[in-house]
Amino acid sequence: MAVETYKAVFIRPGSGGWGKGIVVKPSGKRNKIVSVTGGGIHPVAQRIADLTGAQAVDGFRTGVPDEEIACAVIDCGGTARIGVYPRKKILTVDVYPGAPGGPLAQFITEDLFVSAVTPDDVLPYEGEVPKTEADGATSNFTHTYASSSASTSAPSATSAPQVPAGAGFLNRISGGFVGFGSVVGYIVNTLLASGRQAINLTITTILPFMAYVSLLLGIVLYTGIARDFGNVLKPLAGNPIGLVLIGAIVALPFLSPILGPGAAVAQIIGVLMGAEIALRVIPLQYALPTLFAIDGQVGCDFIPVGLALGEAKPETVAVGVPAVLFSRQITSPLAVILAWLASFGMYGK
Amino acid sequence: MESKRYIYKSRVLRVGPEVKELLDGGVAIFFADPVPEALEQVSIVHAQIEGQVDDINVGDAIYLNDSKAIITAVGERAMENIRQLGHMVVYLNGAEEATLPGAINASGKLELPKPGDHLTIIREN
Repeated sequence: MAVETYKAVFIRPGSGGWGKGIVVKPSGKRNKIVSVTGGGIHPVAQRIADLTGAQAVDGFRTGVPDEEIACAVIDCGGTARIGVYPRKKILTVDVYPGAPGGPLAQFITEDLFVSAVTPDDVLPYEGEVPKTEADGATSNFTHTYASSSASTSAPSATSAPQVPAGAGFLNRISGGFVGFGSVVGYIVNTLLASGRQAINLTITTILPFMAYVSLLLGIVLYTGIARDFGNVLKPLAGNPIGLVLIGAIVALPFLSPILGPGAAVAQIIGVLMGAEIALRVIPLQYALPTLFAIDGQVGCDFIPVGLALGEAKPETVAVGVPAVLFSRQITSPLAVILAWLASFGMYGK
Repeated sequence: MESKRYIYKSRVLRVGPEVKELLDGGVAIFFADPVPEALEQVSIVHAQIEGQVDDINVGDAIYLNDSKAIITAVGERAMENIRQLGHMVVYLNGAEEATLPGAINASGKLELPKPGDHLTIIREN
């Protein structure tokens, strides 16, 4: 074999990835970067190969003996590939943000596995290469499934009992008990899962939302910005064009999230208009357009949270928030005009 | 309403030595041929018979010869795995939310297959 010198690379976890990062340095026979991914050699595998000088190989097309694998690049949804390579002590790079899970979870360790890796996360590396026991591949794999998969297959009772056909009375009774037990197991499992989900949602979405709204509300109340704003807008109330203007101003994309919490504008102008209408200074017809004019900002502080509660991805939130704010800018004055038109003849003579 | 449609049709080629243990633990891993040796250990290797694969829905049935499991959840990356690699991971725990992004959850019991067995996914309603 020709003398070849390979370079080392450090592969760090990508955003949302798992692990601390691993160092890959091909050597001697162990000189192939195996891409165990759908659709040919993955760019991450190619990048590792380019930087180290090793050869990238499509693992599904070309058979590579384990002892020739410098590292495996996988796009694993979380069960099989994520585990079988670390189990063989082969360095494993997942291009998806996988974390230890599934029946092989115990083999997925920080010294062997890193995830959510993009080509940019593969960096040249100078220095000591940590020793991995790459050749001690065998492991006491047996008897590990049962314990580790117990958590994933909790209501196994639903599939287990098979009462033999033609059994007697006693069997039918015990079959009844087993059936009852599996129903109870199913119910308990469902309730447990829903509880877990509820607490997760509370911690990851609802509590941060409450903190965010508290902060916003605190700022708005402390600075009095919304109250002052309501007072500034006061003179505009009382005529249709003024109301349309209020509708347009409160829905300005940079104002509406600040005016939303606390509803100060709605209170100040609402009270003013209500009093004026009660005194017959302003005709009753203005009630409906005013309602729409002073509420154009409602909910604008809540959009990111609402999207998050709907389990939107960060990209969706980034696009969705301005989209809703800008659409509000159009619909808010339009709603005032529609309400004004609808008010004609609404209250009779 | 007796309509039956094949979503997926394949035939088992080889069964890895660790498949039985995984099945006992409620997990079945499928890969289409060819498959790297490390994965073959844990996989039911099969040869897909038809090319086109429709989206699998909750309620469809997976048959491994005569044993059957009804799908209760399909992970967001599961279809991509099936189309590209013939790769499925079936968790036989009846969960209604996919255990992992690449997983398919189902309720029922799949028996240990042998080479030549049929692997099908059928929409029965």
